[in-house]
Amino acid sequence: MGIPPVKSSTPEALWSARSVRVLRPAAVNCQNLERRPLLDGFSLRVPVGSRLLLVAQPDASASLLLRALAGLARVRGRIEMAGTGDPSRAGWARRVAYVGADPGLYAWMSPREALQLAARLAELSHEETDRRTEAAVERYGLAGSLERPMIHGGPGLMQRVALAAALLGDPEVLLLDEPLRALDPDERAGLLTIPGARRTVIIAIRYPASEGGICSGVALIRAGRLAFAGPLSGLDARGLPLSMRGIEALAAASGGPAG
Amino acid sequence: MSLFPAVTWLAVRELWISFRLVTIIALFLLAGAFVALLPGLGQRQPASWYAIGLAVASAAAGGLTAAILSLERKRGTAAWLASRAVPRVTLLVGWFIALLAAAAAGFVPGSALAWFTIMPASPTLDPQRFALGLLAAGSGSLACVALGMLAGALLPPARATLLTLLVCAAAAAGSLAVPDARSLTPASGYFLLAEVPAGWPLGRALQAIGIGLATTALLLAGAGLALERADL
Repeated sequence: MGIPPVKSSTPEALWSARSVRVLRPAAVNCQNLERRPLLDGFSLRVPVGSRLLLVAQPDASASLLLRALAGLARVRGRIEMAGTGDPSRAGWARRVAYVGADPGLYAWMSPREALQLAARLAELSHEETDRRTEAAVERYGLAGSLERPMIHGGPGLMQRVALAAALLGDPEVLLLDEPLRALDPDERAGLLTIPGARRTVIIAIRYPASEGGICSGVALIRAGRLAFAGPLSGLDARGLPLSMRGIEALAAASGGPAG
Repeated sequence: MSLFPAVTWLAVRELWISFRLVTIIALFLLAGAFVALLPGLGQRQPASWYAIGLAVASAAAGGLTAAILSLERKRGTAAWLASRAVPRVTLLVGWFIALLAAAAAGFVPGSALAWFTIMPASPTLDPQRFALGLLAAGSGSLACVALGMLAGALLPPARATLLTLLVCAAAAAGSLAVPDARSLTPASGYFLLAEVPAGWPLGRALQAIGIGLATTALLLAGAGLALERADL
């Protein structure tokens, strides 16, 4: 039985082709990452389109991993992102976006200025900038505070703007390190429902609670190594809660890192 | 589109909003205003006072540079730009140009003020020699800013600031007070500026400018390497 041919070369047609789904190419592939004691020979492969919940003991390991994937922290080992091992602007740098726990935006900027700067750095055209900014403003509820400096809006506003700015460049891989922690869990879950079936999202959370509907997989880092990776539905199947303790119990029941 | 103008403009705006732009301009402007307002202070020539004022302003600007770059790393603003695929070297050069522009905006009018004070006290003073002395001292100021960038890329804010202040002040004091060190350090331009009424061979000024610029280039290259290896 053969796999049906791809009928068009548009990204949507390619993505929806059965052959691509069968191959499940990796959006993130890291091998033997070392930076002791937080990462000690860590390896992980995340297929394209995955929504991965990342938890760690100690939790700084997950944060370091995401910052290393984003090119912000230096680790030894091999990293391939979005199908390339080249971390430069010509490689994966423009195809990957990162949002940290501290948004890192200038507080004197207004949300509009921050979004326009993000669009300029992503080299979007004026028309595309306007179109995507409007969509981001609507999606992240920024209309009421669009022109005021973000310092007046508090950390919640800055985190929403940081997430909106990260999505402005339509990244293939989105790395979220404790995002939107200034918001309540329900609002956070709503905003973290990231659009785009082809987009790979990795969310590092210290206290997982409201990410059940957002993520499809879960990975646990323990002592710098991958202790477990598997579908998040495993928690429900075993009647375990979505919590650090539940994920540890799932890892213990599964008995290995390869999920 | 190049990212460089966007980063430089962002740095200028951050300097403006945080009042550091005004501070840096004022530092270099005050060095000249100090000589213009108090021309007969003590036994020293006005040119000596201006050289001392420039050395103080340069050390302070270097310290401020170190604090700024280190804070950019600490607050995560450098990380935000780096995660938008802005090369780290672009960040560094953008900030250097912004700081250089701020320093020049104070240095040029400050030097004009100093010139109008020094010239009447030394009627035979050659403007070309004064300009060369200024360039030599200015290259020392550039080295201070570059040292601030290196310290800011390596150290936490307080330590980076203190180290830069100490090294710049020691180099300037050495140039002005220790005869043997005068032609060897990047700060030797301050001595040449102080001694401009007495005259010196033009080659010495060119040598001082060369040492200052070479030191600046080396320090900036070091800062680039340090920032490339740093966690943001």
